[in-house]
Amino acid sequence: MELSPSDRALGDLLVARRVLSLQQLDEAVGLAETWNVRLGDAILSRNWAEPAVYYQAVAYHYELPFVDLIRDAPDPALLAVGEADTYARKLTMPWRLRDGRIAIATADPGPEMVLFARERWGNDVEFVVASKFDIVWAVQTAFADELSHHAVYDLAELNPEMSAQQVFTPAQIVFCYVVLTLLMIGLALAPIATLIAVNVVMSLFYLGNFLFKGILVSVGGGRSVDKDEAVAIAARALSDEELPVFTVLVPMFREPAMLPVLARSLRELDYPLGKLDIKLVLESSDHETIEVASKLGLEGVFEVIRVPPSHPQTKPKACNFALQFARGEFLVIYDAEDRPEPDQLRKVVATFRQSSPNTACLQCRLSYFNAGENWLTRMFTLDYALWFDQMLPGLERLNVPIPLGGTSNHFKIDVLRELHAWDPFNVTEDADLGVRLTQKGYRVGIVDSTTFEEASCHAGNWIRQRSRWMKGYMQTFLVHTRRPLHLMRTIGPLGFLGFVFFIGGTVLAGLLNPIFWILYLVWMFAATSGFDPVFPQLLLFLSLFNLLAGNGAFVFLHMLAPIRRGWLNLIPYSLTAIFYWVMISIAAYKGLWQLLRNPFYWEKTQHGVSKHVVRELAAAQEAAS
Amino acid sequence: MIRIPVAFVMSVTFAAVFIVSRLAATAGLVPDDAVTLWVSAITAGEGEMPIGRIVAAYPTVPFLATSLLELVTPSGTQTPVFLTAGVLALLAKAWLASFRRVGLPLIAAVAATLLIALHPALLRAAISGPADIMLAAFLFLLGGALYDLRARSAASEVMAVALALLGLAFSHPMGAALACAAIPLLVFAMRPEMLASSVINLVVALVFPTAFCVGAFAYMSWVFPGSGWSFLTAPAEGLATWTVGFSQFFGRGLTGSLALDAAIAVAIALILAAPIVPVAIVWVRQRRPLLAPALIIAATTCFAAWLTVSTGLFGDPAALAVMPPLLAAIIVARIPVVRERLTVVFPMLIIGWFGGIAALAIGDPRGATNVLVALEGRGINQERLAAINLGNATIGRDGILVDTFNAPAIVLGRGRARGLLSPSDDEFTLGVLFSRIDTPFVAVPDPQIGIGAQDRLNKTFPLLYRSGAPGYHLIYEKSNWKLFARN
Repeated sequence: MELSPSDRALGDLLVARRVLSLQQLDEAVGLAETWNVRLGDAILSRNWAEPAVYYQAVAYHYELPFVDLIRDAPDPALLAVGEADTYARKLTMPWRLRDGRIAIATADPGPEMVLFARERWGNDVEFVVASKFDIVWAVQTAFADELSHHAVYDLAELNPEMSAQQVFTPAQIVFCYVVLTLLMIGLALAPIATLIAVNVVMSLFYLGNFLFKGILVSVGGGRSVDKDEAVAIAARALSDEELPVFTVLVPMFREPAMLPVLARSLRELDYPLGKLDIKLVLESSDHETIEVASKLGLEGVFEVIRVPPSHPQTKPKACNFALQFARGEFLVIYDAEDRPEPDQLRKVVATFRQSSPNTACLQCRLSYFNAGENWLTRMFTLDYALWFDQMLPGLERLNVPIPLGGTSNHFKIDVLRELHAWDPFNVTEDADLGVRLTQKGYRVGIVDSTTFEEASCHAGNWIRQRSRWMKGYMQTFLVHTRRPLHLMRTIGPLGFLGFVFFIGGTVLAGLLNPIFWILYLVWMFAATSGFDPVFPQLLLFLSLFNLLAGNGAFVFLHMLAPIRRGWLNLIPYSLTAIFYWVMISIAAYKGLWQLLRNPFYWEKTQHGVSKHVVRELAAAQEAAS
Repeated sequence: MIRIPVAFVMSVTFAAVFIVSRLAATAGLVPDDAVTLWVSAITAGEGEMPIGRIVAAYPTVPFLATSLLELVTPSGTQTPVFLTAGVLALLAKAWLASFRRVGLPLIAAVAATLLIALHPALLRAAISGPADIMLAAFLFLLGGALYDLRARSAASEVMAVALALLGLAFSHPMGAALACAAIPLLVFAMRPEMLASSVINLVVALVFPTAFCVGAFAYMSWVFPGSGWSFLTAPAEGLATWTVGFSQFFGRGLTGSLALDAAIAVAIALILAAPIVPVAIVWVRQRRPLLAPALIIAATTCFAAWLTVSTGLFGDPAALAVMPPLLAAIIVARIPVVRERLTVVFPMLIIGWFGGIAALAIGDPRGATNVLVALEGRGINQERLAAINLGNATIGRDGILVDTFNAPAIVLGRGRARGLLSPSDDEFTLGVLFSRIDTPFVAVPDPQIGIGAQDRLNKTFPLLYRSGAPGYHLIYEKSNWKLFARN
């Protein structure tokens, strides 16, 4: 699209004021026309001008005053909390009353903004120019408490039955009490029969669990490669002009060292930088990261969102807070250490365009860039390959709710807002949101694009991360089984079964495995006959069958997992999966303990500890110095 | 539209198998293995089989399938025949569907399907019971999966090959031989880029389910004291009989090595029973993705014959005779150039049908001899007939002490296992252990005939057949069997 006369004049002014060179202007004009963005977005995305200098030039161009909103804060009496997100999205807000007229501060002066301001505040307005960052900062400062309250309590207040704020509902407590009581009565009156009944239930669960996951892998493996290729072609065919603004949220906490690596990964995305609305979501108490971010001289598309302190201090709360400032049509979350494949956002846009209108979210595949670092990272990579490359496509094809992975899930931002976004009380808010989307009639799809992450390479770090996932799965299971009939009605019987096995089964298997392993080892090595009454022949057969077939099947599924990526060297490590499952069980018990003691505590995973990342950071620092 | 041809093909196949099986049963051509499998299924279906024997039952897949069918069908149903006919009818359906999918005209597809489904080698497999026909089914699945693996080598293709190998190993002893024989050849089924990386690891993934299940099966057989490890003990008798038959046909053999001769016999049988295979191989000799899987199947079968005879571990290699029509079906479905030359393909399939009869004589000489004997009107298996008659005579009586392991056909004649006290029952074990009989009835064969010499009761009570037991009187005597009742 050709540049507007106003932007052309602005460009000439910037050259005249020696803010830009002529060559930069030509390039910026080219980018702005190709990307279909304002000239300023192109300039700032290339970091060719300091934002303050640029906005001063804009003010000069429009013959408007330039104001520093940090020094001259807006008048709180003019601000309405209900409009905070409008201010942030339009980059326009009332500043002060001057001679009876409202002075409107804007980072985006122009005819459209004038129309909007008059429609909103009447004709008696005048304008001042402020930088985008100042406006975002001013909104955050003015409405910190209110926005924070929205971020924490919107879901809990507007849709309480979907919030994990209440860990156990009274009905769930009564249900557990009744089951336990019946179990105790059974053990008192007919201990053998009761134990057999329990054993049968557990055995059937095991059988169903590994059968279901085997089916998922089989079905997931049959996913059409042609469809993925068609998406890839469509993504390449998308012109920059037709791409929408994409919001990228990067929640970080005490990870200043990761910033240069993160910025490089995002710059490498094959997407017009001017159409990226990147938000570094930082806790306001995390001064170190905020300072590094401000000193790094990042392009103008990077914004820092400071999340005010409040309980619970979780990633979903931070994302909810940042969502209120998002300006994109779509939104994605990346972690600081993520390395999305460059064409990911294009593929997402192409997939959204090709999908049914009710497709509200697309999950990309996740994998690890440090797979070969040690045994744990290899096993973790196998685990992820099984989960994201095999099982999730199976869930998608069977229309079973997809528990979203922590990052690289891309949303239609309107739907996200409609659903009150993430549950800040759930520590696997993504998995919960996937189920919630399906319950509300939306579809979650899978995109054949990978984001590479850093696998935890230390056992302690890994267990902390996995215990959070396990706790979150327990929370998600508890939330959605509060109304089991409603759940079944909204996601269908197959979806219900899938939810039970995929969410509940993952946790329950982690909790039950050690019990069965210990029973088996005692039975095998102690040669005791004490188990004979509890394990009649048929049940013994079923239990042993489950033990053997279940473990064998999962080892085999792990063997299949890396084939898609051609990582055949990982296959033999599948044979050691049993030790990995022991770690999963430790994490499951830790998660259970935390659910009871500290349900909303966010176990932080330490990033930047992998040798790969350490080397990269060192290289980045060297390059910077 | 397609439903009518499918129903037609399935009905014709089902009916043909049913009729041929009935004729074979009447002529006594059904092998002992099939009878034993059926009897085991009846016994298990009635809950009369201890868990140890169920767990250790081999071949597992046909045994479980027959037992389940036995459980849900009325007593007296010829479950193995229904199962066999059903599986072959489903195979025929799959072939018709795949031939149509690749563009064969309807008439041609139906004709090709019937020529393959009613091929003598497959009818022989059907007569031999569920194990042989399931071997055929898994071999066909393996063939298709190998083509897919060569085309894509993704997780689901690897899974399909691995599960086909697993199915083979647990459907028939010869399937186990095929699975073993396939291992070194699987590398040739993979895409070249896979070969360039850790190909051994991929082979590990392909054979893991089979290896793991064999280990698990052995472990379960050890945990549950039944007839554990039975699947590992070689059916040496079957191999010996096959060897005799082979020698009768070929005299001193072709190369001086019986194992090598067996492999060559399989190759010759392939050329005779499916001439389309060598012709198609020549057509696509320059196109490795189309050539490799077909060659792997053929080579695996020849290698399995060699392995079987040289190790003596897998029994009678006659079951390998089923391979040619399956490979023909795979080739028609998978090689485009074959489908474009139907004027050559159909004569080849027809020649193969007749050649299949000759191929059976080479691949299964004992079976061929038995057919000749039956055609002459002579009885094949008088001992089995006698046991069936005894079983008939026990109807209405319960508590009969008899060695059904030695003469399983008694259960067939009786129609049920309940009421028979066999070696897996405590009464039998205690009776043999303490040399005391106190059951309502006892039945023994003449120790002078083959079956009688192996009878466990005869071994413990050598005079039982001739003199009876104290306190018992004779109520039945026919065809070298006596049934005594307690006074």
